[in-house]
Amino acid sequence: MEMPGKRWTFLIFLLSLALLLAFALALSWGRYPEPGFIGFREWRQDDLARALIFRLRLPRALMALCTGAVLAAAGMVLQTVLGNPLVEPGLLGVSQGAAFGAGLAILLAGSSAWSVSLSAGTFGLAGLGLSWLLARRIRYGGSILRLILAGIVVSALFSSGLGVLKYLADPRSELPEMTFWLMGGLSSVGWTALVRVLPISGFVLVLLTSLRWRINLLSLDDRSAFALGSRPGRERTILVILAVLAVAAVTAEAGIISWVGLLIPHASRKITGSDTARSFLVAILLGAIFVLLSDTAARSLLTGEIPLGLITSLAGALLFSVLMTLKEVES
Amino acid sequence: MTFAWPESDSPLIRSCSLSLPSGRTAAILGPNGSGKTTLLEIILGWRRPGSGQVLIGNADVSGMSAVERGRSMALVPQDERIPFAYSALEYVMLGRAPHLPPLAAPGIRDRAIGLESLERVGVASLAGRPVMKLSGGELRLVLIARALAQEPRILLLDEPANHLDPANRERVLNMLRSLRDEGITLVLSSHEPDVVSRLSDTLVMMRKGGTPESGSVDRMMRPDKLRDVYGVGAKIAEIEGRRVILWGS
Repeated sequence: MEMPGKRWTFLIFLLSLALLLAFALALSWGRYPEPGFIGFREWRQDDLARALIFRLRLPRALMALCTGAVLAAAGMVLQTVLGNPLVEPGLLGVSQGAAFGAGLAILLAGSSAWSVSLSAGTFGLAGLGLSWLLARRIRYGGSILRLILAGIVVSALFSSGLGVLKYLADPRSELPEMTFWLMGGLSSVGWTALVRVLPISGFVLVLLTSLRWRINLLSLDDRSAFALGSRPGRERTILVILAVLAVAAVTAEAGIISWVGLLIPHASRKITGSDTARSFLVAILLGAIFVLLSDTAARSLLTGEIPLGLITSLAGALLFSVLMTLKEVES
Repeated sequence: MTFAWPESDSPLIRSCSLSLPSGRTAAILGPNGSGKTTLLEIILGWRRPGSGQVLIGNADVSGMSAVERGRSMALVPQDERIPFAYSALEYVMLGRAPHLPPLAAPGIRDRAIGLESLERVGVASLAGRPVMKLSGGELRLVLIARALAQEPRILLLDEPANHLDPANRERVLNMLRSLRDEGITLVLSSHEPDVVSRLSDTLVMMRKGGTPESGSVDRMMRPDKLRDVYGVGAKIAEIEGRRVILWGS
């Protein structure tokens, strides 16, 4: 199904508008001074309300936007270049690697945000590296199947490692912290965290957006992509590394935010068709909106904060099942 | 040129030496597993021969840049993995990749070339259909259209008439003839002597693990050669100027 150019442009306009509204909602909606919006009068007169918005809600909303965009973009890239609509960043050992890294940092270095982020990012990338190395040794199937199999093995290894860390952790302090980190959340995000994530995420998003049509070529088998003037091995490697780098950066700050990388690419393909020239931008906008709304719900629905990962998992699983049962619309 | 699979004791293609003038057509004929597709892949540069080289003019294919290679040669594969529901037109426009800078997407002109390619193979009406839902024959035509959109000087076709009904088969054969008349060099593999004899100037007969033999169609398309290659008796009859082979005779 191919979406005509004018309809696509209108869709991008609508989604940009929706993103702006979601962003405004994220800044103004909450539980201060009472559950609901911060009105214009509070905005002008209440110093605490202004500080709350600029110091807490603004960096948090920007991080939610960035996290959603990165996870959706990475999911779209990985699904396309690995030719498998079931792939998401977690399948290549990245998420479990980051989880293990965060757990290790909490156990060894306490709850310092820097050490947790650094360790999560490093082990997330190590997860991909190990998957890559193992895939080269596997003597079964084609290159893509080998990478996915290796990713499953590496994820399982890091999962068991995390189990060991949890077993060793102090059940009163370290274990709850690990558990909370694993459920994902942006409650501790401030401007410093944003400065750590934005350069790499922004760079990757801009580059992937520029390459978005060419990504289509790599969904073909290697020989066909090669015949179309591509260097499939090299280009696929670069795209996977870029996608995973950005995922590792946001996961290091936000923890495990499930389902975005799987659900959003499917939803955008359902709306625009499979051509990544169109579906990629839609995925970035949808991902940003989805995580922004989920995070606003996570901090506003109850008096205590609900972990963001729980909300994206619940909403993601429900939406995905609806998406999969929709009748395909053909042009 | 010689080619052997890794970990194989004997070469699949032994001492193969071919030259084809620009704008002519060569057909590769041979039994299953004799290396027809592999020979096409070697010409494309996808596989490297153990010894020898493939030259286009004076340029070694293995030394060509990806863009140069993509503009010179296009491949119509026998089959292809299609993981996503691209429309036929989107699929055909992938053929424009070698003509676009890495960060660019196809523009109006590329879209027009894509539509024209679909029209040329007679499936313009399928432009909006998802390729996953096309029949084997329709997909084959779309793959040919994608190769045309690539505007190559050399077109490599792996079994171009497979899966096609008689009407589409005639359309494709006529179109390939007109491409040849436009000066495009065609190299095709086929099981069908009729296709081969109607299109080709040169015939390459592959033997399993043996040395391929090449020559004009008249010299190569003989019962003794066919028996030698396929291991089955064959009689060749001519009906209205076209060769028909009766196997097992």
